[in-house]
Amino acid sequence: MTGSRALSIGTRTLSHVAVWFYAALLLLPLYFLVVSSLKDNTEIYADGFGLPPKWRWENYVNAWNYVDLGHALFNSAYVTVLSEILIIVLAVPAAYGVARSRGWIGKLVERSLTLGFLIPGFAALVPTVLLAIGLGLFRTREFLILDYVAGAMPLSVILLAQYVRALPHELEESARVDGANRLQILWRIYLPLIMPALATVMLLNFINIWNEYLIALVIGGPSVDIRTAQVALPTLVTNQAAQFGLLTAGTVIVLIPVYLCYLALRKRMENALVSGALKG
Amino acid sequence: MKTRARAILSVTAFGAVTALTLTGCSGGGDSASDADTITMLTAAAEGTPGGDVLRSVIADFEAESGITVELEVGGEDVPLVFETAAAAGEAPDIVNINAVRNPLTWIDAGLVVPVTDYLTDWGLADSALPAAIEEWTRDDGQLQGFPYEGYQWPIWYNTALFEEAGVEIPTTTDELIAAAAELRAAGIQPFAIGGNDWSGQKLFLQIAQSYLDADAARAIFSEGGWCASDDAMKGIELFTELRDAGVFVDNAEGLEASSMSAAFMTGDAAMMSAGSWELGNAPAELADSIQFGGLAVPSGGAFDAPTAYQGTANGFWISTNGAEKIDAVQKFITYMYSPEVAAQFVDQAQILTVIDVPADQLGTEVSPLLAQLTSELPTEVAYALQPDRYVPGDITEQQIRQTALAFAPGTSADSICAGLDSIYG
Repeated sequence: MTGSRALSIGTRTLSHVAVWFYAALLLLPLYFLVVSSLKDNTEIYADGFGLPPKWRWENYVNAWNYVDLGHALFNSAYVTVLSEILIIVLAVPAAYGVARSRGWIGKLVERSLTLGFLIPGFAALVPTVLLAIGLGLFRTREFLILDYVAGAMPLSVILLAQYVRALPHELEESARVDGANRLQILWRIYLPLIMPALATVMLLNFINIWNEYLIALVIGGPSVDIRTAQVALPTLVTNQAAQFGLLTAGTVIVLIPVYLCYLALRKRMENALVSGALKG
Repeated sequence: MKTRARAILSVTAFGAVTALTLTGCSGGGDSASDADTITMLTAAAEGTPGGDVLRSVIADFEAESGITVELEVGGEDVPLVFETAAAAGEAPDIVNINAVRNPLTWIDAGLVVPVTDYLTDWGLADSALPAAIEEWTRDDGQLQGFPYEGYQWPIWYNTALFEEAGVEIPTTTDELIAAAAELRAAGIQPFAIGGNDWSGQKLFLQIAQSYLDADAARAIFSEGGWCASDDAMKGIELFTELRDAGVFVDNAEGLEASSMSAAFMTGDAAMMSAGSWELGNAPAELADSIQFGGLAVPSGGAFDAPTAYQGTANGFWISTNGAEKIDAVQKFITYMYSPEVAAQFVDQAQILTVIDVPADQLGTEVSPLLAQLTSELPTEVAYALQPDRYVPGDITEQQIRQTALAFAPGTSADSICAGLDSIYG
């Protein structure tokens, strides 16, 4: 009994140490990012992890002004939010259809969606550019939205479909007995129940879309009217020099919306992650 | 700053976009529709000395000419942005970038127009230094663009650190090896270099041509044949000797130009190989300790004095869209080529230009470092062949990867030459 208890305490201590160590590993780059954002290049290289000898808050102001970060953040938000809305509008009914389909067509659709995972984004760059030009949407935010939605659909549909499958059929049958049509069943029954999974999908898509660089650069381009924050920030780096203090200050600013999105969706996402553990 | 992942993505994207361009895809954009507006893509970020002067002179030009210049900043990805826009028929009218790598392929890809005739028709042939025009002229005689910024690319020496270690500035490679040992013994890192990027590539090629005459170096840079050349192999062996003797800073193979500059500017390293564009980053407290010189040379080599590079940096390329509104472009280029405008880059940003600026048009107080670079350095060094003009643009990235391997300890001269030859196809 005593030995077992000692083992338990030892295991718990080890677990705590491991968790704190892992947390420190995650915090270290974040700390480096924040302190670097308050230094100039020389100070960053002289003592990367030390506190700034002079707190250069002006880095934030300059990063904001030099690349018109306000405009770029608006563009990022515009593209990301509209993409998220479109993904939800399209992926939820698609997932419901795929999950409830009993025929071969449903299976075929689901398997064809998995093929979407096999194509890396940059491999599709040329056809994507051609499509943008062909549609007359080159150098527009609207094409970015369409592209991001198309890219996010396979994973979103498959994740949501798995969650819908886990819900009991009886719910739907009861609703149908009460006279609800499919749209009402989806809206009133399933949508509230799949919110944890939807939150997970939204968060994953938010991070992917917000941080996307290559398509935003190549198709959106560097024009201030269109470029997203991810395209604006690297323009602080020239072909001969980089201002790392400004760059990290801008990066901190651009990270804030991602963190806010996580805070907003955290609870529901955690519910989705643990729901499987409570079943059975 | 450029990460390897981003570099790979950029190279992939460049290949894809080049294919797109060569297939003749064009969206037929309307950027040529407004003759009083020209668009210019540049890497010059706001907040940098050069970027701020560029914006200032453009504002003056707009007020003077009534022509609007829309500036787009592409950072390190200017070539990729330009090529993609060109594929869609929406290329900016002017691109402000240097004549290395991708841009060297732009005339053949039909993305920019040769400016040979414009130079003479606009009366600018005598405005720029002949060597700069020659550098931007292809073997077939076509001038690729208007060169603008120039540079001296010496070795920067921190004399205070050399004094601390009790050694002189080296002029021979034997002295360099001895100096590096003394510096290390004094706890000072010797030669800072970004072994993982273009700065390391340039230093490697500077050392590798130590025993090559200009014609031989030109041929090898253009066509390869490193392993087959005894003199090239002697140069590569000299490089490995310097590397193995600890001349370069620790972990040089993983560093980039920005970390090289920081190591020198913070006083951690006693030497670096950097161009005059770094002048604006030199801290005031270090200025008195900076001495420019050449790279130490071996006895019996092709050079009789320590070597440096000189050449041109960013210039102006005219796209096919720009050629359709050539009157406005002419006014802009002619304005930029005026000595008064060029003098502002020298005075305010310490950026050398290829424009012949009379001394009386420069400010009264030229920076001592700038004066040292422009007056003293050219008399003290021999100029090595700048490889950017001769190494084919489409293999430059691969060559940088090979030279990065060369900085890694243990890489033999045979392995280095084989790697370099492999990329010439």
